[in-house]
Amino acid sequence: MKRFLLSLILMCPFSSTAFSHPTSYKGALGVMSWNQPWLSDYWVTYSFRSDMALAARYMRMEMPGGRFEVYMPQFDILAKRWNEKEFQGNIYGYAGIGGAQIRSEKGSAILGGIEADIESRSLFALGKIELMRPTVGEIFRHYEIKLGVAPYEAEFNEIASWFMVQYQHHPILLKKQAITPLVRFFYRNVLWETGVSLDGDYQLNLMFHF
Amino acid sequence: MKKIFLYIVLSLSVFSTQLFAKELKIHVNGMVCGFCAQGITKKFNARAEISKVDVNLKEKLVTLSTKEGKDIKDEDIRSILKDAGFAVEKIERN
Repeated sequence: MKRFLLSLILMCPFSSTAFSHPTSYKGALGVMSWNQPWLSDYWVTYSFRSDMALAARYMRMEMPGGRFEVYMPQFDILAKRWNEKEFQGNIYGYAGIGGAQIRSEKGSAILGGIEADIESRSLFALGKIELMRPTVGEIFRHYEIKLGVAPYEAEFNEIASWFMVQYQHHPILLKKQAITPLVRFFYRNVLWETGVSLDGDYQLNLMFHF
Repeated sequence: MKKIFLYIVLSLSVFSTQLFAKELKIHVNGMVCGFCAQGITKKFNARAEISKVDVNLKEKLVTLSTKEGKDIKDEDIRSILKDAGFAVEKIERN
């Protein structure tokens, strides 16, 4: 328990974006969908190893200059995992290069991110930093922290529930930052979470893996 | 004649133990989330030797039941759990 809490504290300086499982078990196909009024992020991932995956990704971002869209293949890697008796910790990295469009202007973009998470059966913390440099539009930075607590410890084939709080910061989007309380549920291979930010904006995220 | 009979009885009892299904208890580290552990049941259920997989998050235990006359090697178990993203602490065989 002490080690878990210490790890949680060390993780706090990180912040990150997006809701994702960059890699899953070997051979898994994952579909992840993040939805807010100013941001959508969709991933389809194939984990050809338990520590590596290829993904197809699409993002929609609402900016003062208009709608910005990015679509790209992406490589995900599980850089480090700690499998301990009472918790699991992970550090992921990912990078991609693809197309970008803002209004009718088309170009390309390169993207990279680092994500770290730590989870026990009742506590969760995630932090992520993401940076995208397009040839059209502005450089996109996205920071996020997510903290969660489970009101009960669900067994393997039970519906698990979590209360989450998410802080995101993305200076160039229409919404520069948001704090969103969420409820998360998962059952077998389906995960969904939903909430409303303190400013009244919805969020709905879904994840499946097969 | 007695020796032959005794030999047959002993051989049958040894042989018959191989026909029984086995139960293996695997102590797994990092198994804290049912969503993340789905790969465990998927991978083991795909094995011809396995008749049943039980995952217990509280006890950090994966219990495998093999089919009659079948067995699964420890290295295969470790490989499957590694592919599922977890680490094996101990394997107990009944």
